Amino acid sequence: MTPLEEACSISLKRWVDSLPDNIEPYQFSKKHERRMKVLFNKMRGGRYHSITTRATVLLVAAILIFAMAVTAMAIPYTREFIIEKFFDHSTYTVVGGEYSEIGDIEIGYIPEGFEKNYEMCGAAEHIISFQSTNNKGWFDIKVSLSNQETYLDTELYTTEEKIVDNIKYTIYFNDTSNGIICNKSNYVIKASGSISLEELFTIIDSISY
Amino acid sequence: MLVLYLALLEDAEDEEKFIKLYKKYVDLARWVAYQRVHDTEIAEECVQETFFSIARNFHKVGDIDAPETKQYVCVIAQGFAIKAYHKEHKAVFVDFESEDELDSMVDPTANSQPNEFDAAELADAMDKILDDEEKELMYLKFSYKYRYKELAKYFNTTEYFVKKKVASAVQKLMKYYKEERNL
Repeated sequence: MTPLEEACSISLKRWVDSLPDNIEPYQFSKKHERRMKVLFNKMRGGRYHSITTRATVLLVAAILIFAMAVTAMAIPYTREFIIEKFFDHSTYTVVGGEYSEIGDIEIGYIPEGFEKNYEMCGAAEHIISFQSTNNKGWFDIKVSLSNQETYLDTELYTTEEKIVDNIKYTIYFNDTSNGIICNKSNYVIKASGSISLEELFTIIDSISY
Repeated sequence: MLVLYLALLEDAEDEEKFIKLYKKYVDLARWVAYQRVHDTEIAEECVQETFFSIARNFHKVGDIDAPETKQYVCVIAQGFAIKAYHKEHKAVFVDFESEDELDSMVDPTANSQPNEFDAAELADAMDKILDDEEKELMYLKFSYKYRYKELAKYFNTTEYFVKKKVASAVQKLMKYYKEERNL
């Protein structure tokens, strides 16, 4: 550890130690509780969106092998994407993604028994979360600009590539949830949840923007 | 069809650990955020962002009761509060000199001689001379090893801006430290 790193640690410890020990419990809003419930659901089954070096290497190698093996196939409509490694996670990024503002998103198909739980709109991404009325099921739809990064946890999920109508889909699944990532035009769409892959495909097809 | 098989790691204890972490630190995170933003709704949003961020890096969290975990939660909460504060107050980020100069600004104590820099004195200087935002960047950069790209994403700004802020904070700190020591 350098002296500066050590100084930062000392200063940080000093700051946190100066914070009050007994903070009065706060009554959070129902909106907050609902959002945190979505997060707890995501934590079910283990870690959330992290990827190891080994997993990254395997995924990139597999994608390269797949790309070489399908030279006779028509060029997919989807854009090239890259996996970029950070010190504690990796991201899926579309090459040459353009910046613009994300517009309104409409989901045409919502499975029966589900209702919108919350919605977050930013300049570059739009997330809509759904919960079943019996609280046993959930799914999230995230539409982001293609220059934004998307997380993929290949430690927790089995992954597959699938091309349908010239669109390349990255599918991931385990015992408790499924997910699909694809890019269309200038957007990356990520659909994940406890519902079936077939339902997720139907939802993705129904999205208009 | 290409099939990639990776070892599945399902740790049912992670959910329990995360909920325990949340219950232990949620009020503290909210308190830290509120000190900066002074708005209950924005403070709640900061708390949500904090725990979403921690969830994404959950494999980095060790013992829930360790001081390091408490420090990590506080740093992340403060970071989101600073980001929210800038958004609310429409902060304008100003460009300065060239980026090349910033790339050469690394930790000046990295290759120093033994006893050339005293960490405790440097920490005192940090607390005297740097504001909360500068210290927050220093903690994330030097204690938690965030890359500039990650800092830029975290604060929703440009990589150049965070490089400049960190460089400026380090310069300020070193200048004060050397003056105090008559170096």
